[in-house]
Amino acid sequence: MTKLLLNWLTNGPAAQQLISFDHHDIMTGSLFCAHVTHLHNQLSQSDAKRWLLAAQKSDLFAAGLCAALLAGKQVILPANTQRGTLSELNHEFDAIIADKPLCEAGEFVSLKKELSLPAANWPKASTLGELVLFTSGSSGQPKAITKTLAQLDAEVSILEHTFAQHLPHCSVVSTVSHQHIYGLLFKILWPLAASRAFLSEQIDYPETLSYYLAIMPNLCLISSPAQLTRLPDALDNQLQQRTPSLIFSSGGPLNFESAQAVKQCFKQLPIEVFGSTETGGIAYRRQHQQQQTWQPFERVNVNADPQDGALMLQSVYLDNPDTWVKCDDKIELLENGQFRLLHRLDRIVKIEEKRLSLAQLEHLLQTHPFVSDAAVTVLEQPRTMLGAAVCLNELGRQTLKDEGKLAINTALKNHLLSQFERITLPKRWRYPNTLPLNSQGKRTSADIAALFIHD
Amino acid sequence: MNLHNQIKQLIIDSLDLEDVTIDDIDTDAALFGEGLGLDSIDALELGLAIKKEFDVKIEANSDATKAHFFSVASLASFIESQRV
Repeated sequence: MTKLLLNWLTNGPAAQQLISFDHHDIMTGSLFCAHVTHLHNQLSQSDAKRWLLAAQKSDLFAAGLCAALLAGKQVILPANTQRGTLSELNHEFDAIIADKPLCEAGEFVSLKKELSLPAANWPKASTLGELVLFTSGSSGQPKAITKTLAQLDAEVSILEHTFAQHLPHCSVVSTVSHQHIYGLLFKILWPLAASRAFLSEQIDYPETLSYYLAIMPNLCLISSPAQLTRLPDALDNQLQQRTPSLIFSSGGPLNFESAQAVKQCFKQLPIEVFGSTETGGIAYRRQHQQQQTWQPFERVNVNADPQDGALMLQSVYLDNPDTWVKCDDKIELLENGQFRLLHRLDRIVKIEEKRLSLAQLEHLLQTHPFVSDAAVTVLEQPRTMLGAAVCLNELGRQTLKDEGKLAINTALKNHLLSQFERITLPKRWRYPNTLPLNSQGKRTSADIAALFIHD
Repeated sequence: MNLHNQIKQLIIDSLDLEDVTIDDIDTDAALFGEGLGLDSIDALELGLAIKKEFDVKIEANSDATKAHFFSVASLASFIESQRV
C-alpha cells in the first residue's frame, strides 16, 4: 500500500495516461497537464485561500481540483449548489473556481476546456492544499469536514489494494456526482492515481450506460441504489451481453432484491461500500444472502458501544488514526469482526442517497409565511420519500381554500429549493389543524407517519 | 383519450403523483425542474413507463433524450415519430 495518490499528485500524469473520455472527445495526460498548469498559475497569483469548486464535467473538475491542491489552497465542496446553500456558506469561501459564475463572490477562475494551451510541466507544490466538504449536520447547520491529502491517499491506496485485481485495463463510468466524497474518491481520485480513464460526463439514463458498455471492453461502474434499484427493469431483467467488470454501490443501503436483480442482468452482485463523509469508507460487502454482514476495510477497526450499540470506529482514514470515534449508526457486532447495520441514531436521513437533516428542513418550512408548524418524516411506500405535515396559519389556510392543495405544495417546495435539491423534497403533503402529540406531549415519527396512511 | 392526455395520465400514475390531475399539467410547460417540478429519479421512472406503454426506443445520447422528455408536447411528437 504505497502512497498512490500522493505520488501521482506530486509527479503528474504520464503524457500517455488517458485522463478521461466522452462520446466525442478525450483528455490526454499532456492536455490535462496544460490545463492544470494554466489554472495553477492563476490560483498561485491570488491571495484567496479558500476556493469553492464546482463543475459539471469531471475532467474540468479534476483539473481545478489538482491545480488548487498543488497551489496549497483549501478546496471547498458544498453539499449542492442551490443558491440558498451557497449564500449560507458565503463566509466559508473567498473565491470560486467553476465552469460558471455561481454567485457574486470575490474572485472567479473559469474552468473551460481549451485546446490551444501551451504544453507545460506539471506544477511543483511547496505545500499541498486540503479539501473541505460541507454536509448536513444533525442540528440542521451545515457541517464542515476537512480531508487532508494524507487521509485521501490512505483511502485511495487501500481501495486499489483491495479491488485492483478485478479491474485490469478498466475505464470508469459513474451515475453519481463527483461533488460528493463517494464520487470524488471512486470516480476522480482513485482512477487518476491508478491510471484508469474516467467518463467525463455523468450517466443519467440506462441507455447511455448500455452504449458505453457496448463500445468499451472493460468498465468499472460507480453507482448508487437510486440507479441500481431501477436499472434491472430498464434492461427487462435480461442477462446483458456486455457486463461491467465491477459494480460499486454506495451512498445508502441497497435492498437485497435489487442486488439480486442487478446480478440477473450483469452476472455479478454489486460491491456495496458503507461509509460517510466524516469517516470515509468503513466496510464493504456483496449481498449473497439476506442480512449479509459487512467486512471492515484493512486498517479500519470496528466496535460496538456497550451502552447504545453505536458503531465505534478507529481508522487510518480519520484525522487521528488512534482515537476511537463514535458514529450515529447502531450495529450488531459479530465474533469474526464483521457486523450488521441496524439503524441511525439521529435525525439525519438519506433520500436517493442525498443526505439531509430533517431538523433543517422543518426549520426552513417553518419560515414560510403560510406556515405555523411543520414536521417531516420518512415514508417507505411506494418508495423511500419524505412526507411533510404542515400546520397552516390563517394566510395559509385562506390560500389553501382559494387556490387548492397543489398550489400550496408547489409554493412550499419552491421555498425549500433554496437549500434542498429537488430530488430530496417531500412528495406527500398533509395540512392537519394540529400536529399529533403522544401522551407524554412528545411528537413521534410514528404519529406523524400515520397522517400519510390512506384510508 | 388523446395522446396528450394519455401521456399526462401515465405521468400521474407511473410517478404516483398525489394532488395532481390531468388539468394541472400544462402540455407545453417543462416537466422537470421549474414547471411540473419532476426530479431526476422521476425522469428515470417516466422513461421506463413511456418505453413500456408506447413501445418506443430511447437514444443513448442523453441530450436528445432530454429534449424528447422536455414537455408533454415534445413527448407526444417523439412517440408519434416512432410510430409506423
